[in-house]
Amino acid sequence: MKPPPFLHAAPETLPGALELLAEHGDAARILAGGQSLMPLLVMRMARPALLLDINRCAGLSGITRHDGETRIGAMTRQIAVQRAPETPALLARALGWAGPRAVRNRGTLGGSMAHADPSAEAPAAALCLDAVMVLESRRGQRLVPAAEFFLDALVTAIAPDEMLLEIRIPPGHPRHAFAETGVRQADLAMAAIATDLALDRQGRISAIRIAAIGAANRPVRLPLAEQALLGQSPTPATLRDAARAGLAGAEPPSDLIASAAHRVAVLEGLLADAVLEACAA
Amino acid sequence: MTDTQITLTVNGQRHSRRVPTRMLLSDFLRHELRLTGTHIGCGHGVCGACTIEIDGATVRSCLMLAVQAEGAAITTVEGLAGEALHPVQQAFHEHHALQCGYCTPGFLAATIELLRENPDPSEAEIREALHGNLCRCTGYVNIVHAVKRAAELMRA
Ligand SMILES: Cc1cc2nc3c(=O)[nH]c(=O)nc-3n(C[C@@H](O)[C@H](O)[C@H](O)COP(=O)(O)OP(=O)(O)OC[C@H]3O[C@@H](n4cnc5c(N)ncnc54)[C@H](O)[C@@H]3O)c2cc1C
Ligand code: FES
Ligand code: FES
Repeated sequence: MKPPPFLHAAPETLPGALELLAEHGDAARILAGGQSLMPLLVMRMARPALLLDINRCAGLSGITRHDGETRIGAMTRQIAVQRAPETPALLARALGWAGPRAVRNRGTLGGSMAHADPSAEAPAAALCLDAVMVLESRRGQRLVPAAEFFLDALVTAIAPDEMLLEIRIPPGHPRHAFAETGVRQADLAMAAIATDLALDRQGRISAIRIAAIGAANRPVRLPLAEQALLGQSPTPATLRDAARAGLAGAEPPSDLIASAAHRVAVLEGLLADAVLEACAA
Repeated sequence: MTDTQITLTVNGQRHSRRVPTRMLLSDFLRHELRLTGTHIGCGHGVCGACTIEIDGATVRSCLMLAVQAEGAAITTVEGLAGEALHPVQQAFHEHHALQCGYCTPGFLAATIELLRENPDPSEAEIREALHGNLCRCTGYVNIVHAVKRAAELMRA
């Protein structure tokens, strides 16, 4: 297989990259880890005139802490994110499901967010943790909360002249869990639940966030399940009711892997499992 | 389209070549350097046959452009054996961990990376580390045995 012809630019500075993006807009495509874009190129599903390779661009990778907030450069490789002590545990766990080792060695956190595959793990973790995406262009910088970033399958709030620079994650709750089901363990998620929560002294849920993969054509929070569980002790009955409430209006995709009804049933089970696991942790 | 000059080290040897920007690294290794031990199973990232080591980490060479390997140090399957087979090759040989051998270069690279970080992996850890490599012949059982044996050989 062979990609279509393109111009390849590998700027070494961010201003250089943003300049090219401003000039070429839609005709340019950013190349990060290439683990999603290279297959699209060889299958000729993408035909950019300019491939803007940001692998040599300085200052785009690394993980730092600012007042409890974790900041992860978009080009930080998934394996590095997974292994860094600063990484929120839920995100590290979610990345453990994100494809084989050689793919995580090369794939980047920013690429996973920007690609916005509806079955990708990292975007669901970002949504659960109220991450903020830092977008940069020659016009300036803007901060987009994860809840406003993932718009549809493979569609995000990134404008053609913008680049995702950094993912910021505010401090989370002390407990978390990530539960996933696929056709095979290593495969893309058919359905998954990410949760982080806190318990009070009586063991009741005092704060909780829940995000789902497979409940829609993008990762979504389940606010009705969150509300139903707040103040409750995690018993089988409260969990079942909360899962039903959370998924009541869901419109999951129906495809060769699973019907919409099956996805809902699986998600109800995963939600109960994940919350129980987080409470027991 | 445009060509670009690249210089890189493969199995300890420096090479300098002009390549079309759209040439995949896997095709560069096979067609330009004639290192045909790097196999192409799928050509789009799903099988792991083309896995090589670049600057100390495994990658799928069909998902990189040759121009992106400028300045890199690469090890392919041709670079593993010295006078004797690499212990991982030796173990795959002893345990019949290959039949047609098409997938083997990729499995060797993934195994070497695993054993470098985890010298005594459990069966679950071995299967986890190799889950991205597909084999259509062996059924995987002998591959897992071979990795266990390779770990022994390398600890000895
Ligand atoms: C065999 C295999 C299995 C996989 N399994 C999983 C899995 O289980 N779960 C999972 O989540 N993913 C999986 N993936 C995909 C994942 O590995 C990719 O890394 C990820 O989807 C894209 O990240 P990347 O850095 O490789 O980006 P690229 O492929 O380089 O880019 C992807 C898209 O994002 C855009 N982009 C990248 N970076 C930026 C940026 N900084 N700013 C703006 N736009 C940008 C690109 O233009 C492109 O459109 C798998 C891939 C393979 C090959
Ligand atoms: S040939 Fe590269 S992964 Fe299949
Ligand atoms: S030995 Fe034939 S594909 Fe693995």
